[in-house]
Amino acid sequence: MTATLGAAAPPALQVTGLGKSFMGVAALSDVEFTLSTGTVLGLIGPNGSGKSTALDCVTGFVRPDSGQILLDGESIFGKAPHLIARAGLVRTFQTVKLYDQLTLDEHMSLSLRGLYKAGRSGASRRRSAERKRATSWLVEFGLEQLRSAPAGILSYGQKKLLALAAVLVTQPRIALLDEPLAGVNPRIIDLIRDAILQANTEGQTFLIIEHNVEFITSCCSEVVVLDAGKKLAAGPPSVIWDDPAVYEAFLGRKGDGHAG
Amino acid sequence: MRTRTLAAAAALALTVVGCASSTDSPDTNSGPITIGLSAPLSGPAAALGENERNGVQLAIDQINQDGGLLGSRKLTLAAQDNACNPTDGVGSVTKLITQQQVSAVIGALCSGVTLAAMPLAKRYQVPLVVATSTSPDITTAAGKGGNDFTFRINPSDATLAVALSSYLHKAGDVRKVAILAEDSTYGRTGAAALQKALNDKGITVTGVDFVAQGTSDFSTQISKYRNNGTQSVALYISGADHLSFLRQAASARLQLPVTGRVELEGQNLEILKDEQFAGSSSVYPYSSLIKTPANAKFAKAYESAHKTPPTYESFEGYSAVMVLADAISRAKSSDPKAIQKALVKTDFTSLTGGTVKFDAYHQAHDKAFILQIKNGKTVIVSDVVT
Amino acid sequence: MDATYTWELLANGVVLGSSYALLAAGLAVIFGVLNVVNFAHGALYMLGAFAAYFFIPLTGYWIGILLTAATMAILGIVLQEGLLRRLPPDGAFSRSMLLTLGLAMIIQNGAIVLWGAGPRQLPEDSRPQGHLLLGDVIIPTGRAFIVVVAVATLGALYLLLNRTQVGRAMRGVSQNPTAALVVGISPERIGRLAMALGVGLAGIAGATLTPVFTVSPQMGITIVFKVFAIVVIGGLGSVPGAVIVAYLVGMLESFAGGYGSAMTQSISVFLFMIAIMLVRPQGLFSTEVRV
Repeated sequence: MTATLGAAAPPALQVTGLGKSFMGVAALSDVEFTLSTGTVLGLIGPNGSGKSTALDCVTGFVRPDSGQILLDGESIFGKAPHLIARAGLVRTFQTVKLYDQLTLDEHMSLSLRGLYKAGRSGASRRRSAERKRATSWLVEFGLEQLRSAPAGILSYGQKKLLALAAVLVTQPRIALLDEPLAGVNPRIIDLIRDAILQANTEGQTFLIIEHNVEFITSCCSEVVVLDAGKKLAAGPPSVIWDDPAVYEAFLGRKGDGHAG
Repeated sequence: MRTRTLAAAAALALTVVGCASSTDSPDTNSGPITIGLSAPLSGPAAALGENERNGVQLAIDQINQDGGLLGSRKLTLAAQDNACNPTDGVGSVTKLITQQQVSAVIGALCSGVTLAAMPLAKRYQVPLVVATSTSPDITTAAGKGGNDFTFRINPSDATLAVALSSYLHKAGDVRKVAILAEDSTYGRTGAAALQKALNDKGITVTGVDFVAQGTSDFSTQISKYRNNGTQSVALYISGADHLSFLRQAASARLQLPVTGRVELEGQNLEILKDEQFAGSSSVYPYSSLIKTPANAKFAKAYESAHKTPPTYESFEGYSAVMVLADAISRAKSSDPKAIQKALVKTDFTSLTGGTVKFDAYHQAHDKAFILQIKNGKTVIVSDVVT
Repeated sequence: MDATYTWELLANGVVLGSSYALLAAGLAVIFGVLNVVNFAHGALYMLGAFAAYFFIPLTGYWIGILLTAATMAILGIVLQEGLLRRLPPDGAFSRSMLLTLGLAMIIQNGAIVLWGAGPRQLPEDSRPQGHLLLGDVIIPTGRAFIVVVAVATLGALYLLLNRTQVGRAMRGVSQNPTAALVVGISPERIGRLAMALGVGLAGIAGATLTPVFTVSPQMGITIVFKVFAIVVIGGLGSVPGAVIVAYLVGMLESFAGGYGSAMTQSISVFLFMIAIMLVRPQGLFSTEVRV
């Protein structure tokens, strides 16, 4: 499972010519990027640059106006969100979305349920593997004591961890994370980064929106920069930070980033 | 979009219907004579309204079969639903008078609706024949009370209550009565009239409960009657609620006779013939058992059309049309004002053998009957002139 | 007024509460999952009663109840697929109210046209016979069966919602529909299931009352408002809340009517609702304010 293999196989996700306007204002125009199996792609850009809209278009929460979205060579353009999720694109949200009155265990099992139809052959073996995975992520995130508690009582950081665990446990074709680190403390940042790196080592493909420069640099193999709904640049993080256009658009304007 | 189109279509349809009826120009000299009926055809009292409409329709059909009125002018019925609700009632009567150009209105079954509709009869000068509403307030307001266009052919609850109380007093075995009434003008005025009449005769009222129309569960009241020394339950509830109460009282083994305004017929009788209800009684202006030739003929015609014996409402609806037809013939006109003048002078023999003749308050004094259940059968104990 | 009377009122309250609980649970499921305030609930309850009126004489009591539940569940799916699902997403909430209100009128008046406005009752030999004697308290068998059916049905509903994947999915959709989409839960499928359950429960409520009360097209009009009040007190969309409050209201009404008058009985539930709204506007069993 490495990106360099198999020239014949189509990329995990290929987006071309993606466009979307809201009431005549273009939020995205002609955005394109490619995500290879087993890699971590970072989607960055200043606030309002269209990152979240792009993610919403890809996952079906917003219907794109134009373009092509191929998952393993098959179009998922304009499909309903739950069908895209079943096809293997599983996401988190910037504002964490959980079921407050369901327990952590119920979250994990719901997350697993929607993606796999209740097949008969090998179901029990698969289920026990899933249960093991669910437990190990909850243990890793220090949530195993709370597994029978309703998610409503969790702290914000714990909620983000649970949302991430619920995605990772399903081992989706692609995990799409919208600002996984926003608003959490450094200890949890470490937990999340380690979890992403560990899953990636095991072959998990990621598309991540994030502002944390250090995280992007250390985790992503490739970065796509959006500005005002357009693709500004793409390449490995080390190259991107040296691009003056990127520096001006993203780091310059924000004034809080110093290229590493 | 779809809903908006539908709404527009519905509005259009309404307009078309409205236009069609308002273009029927009022012609008082030829063409059919329209009789209006405002009755509950939906809502909690819909069953009673249906019975009344059946009676009205039967009378109209019979008159038309016999050649109509005023030299072969046919009668037609314009029926409007009032849902036993004063707001709908006012709307229905206004529509009958202003759009459907009726010569007279029969209505409105529920006392509260009738009281709300009476001012319209006066304002538009169209006779309103009240056939089934029993509230005493209707009499007080009609005729000398100021509303010359309202006439009532059925007795008021005040007179019925006095007749019933005298009977209970004479019968002698019931000294404590609970009153269960629906929370409507009918229930409230009926209960008040009976409470007063019973007190006058020295019979104790253990409690008066007003239940909302459409109440289905009477278990609380049944438990109460079982435990507070009540010897008989007087009912002023109508339609489905009425039957529902009897059904529940039977299965809870209440074992008390019922009285008040109980229709001792049909499905009610099926329940009440059980010995636990022995001695149940009722006061009613009508019973299909009344053995006059006129009533036998009416009951037979009604049964062949509707498969059930006529009820009080059917009888009164039928009578109202007959009283109106009599007035129209005497007035030699279908003009509402002429009919009103003729109605005042009505002297009409009712199906039950009584006389419909309006007093100064435009109240007729037809017969009423004390009915009782004996050995599982309804019998007429006595008749009284109200 | 003695101890027997108190026990009798208590028993009445449990029976009353059981009917309310079946209705309120159905309403809460539909609101929770579909965000639809189902004004047609009373009319559907009436249809359930009529279905049982036709089924029970043919099949007997228990199979009649089951057949009614199945028929009504299918009707729920038809309503969801034919009407509710077709509402445009913007303004679906307010449109659903108009839609279900219109549906209630159509069902009710359709029933009058079809079956007449008069009350009907099951033939004597189709009704559960006799009564139970608990001490001095008489409970007609038909009323005792209401409690049995309600407890069994609500128990099954509890297991479905809490012990099965599809139940978890329904609760998930009711708490966060977006999050449920992300894990691939089909909103259409859950919507159909919610309507099947909600309408099925209304049908069962109607069916259990058929042998006890009379059946008429108007029977759903009054009760639906009471059940709305119960669902509001319980916390909109909370099924356990609706069930618990249903039994509380059953007791409250029984005692308010038993020691007061029928008027205190009928206003007690609404006074209770107003009191709760002042103290705890989100309802007794809601952990958060839902929009």
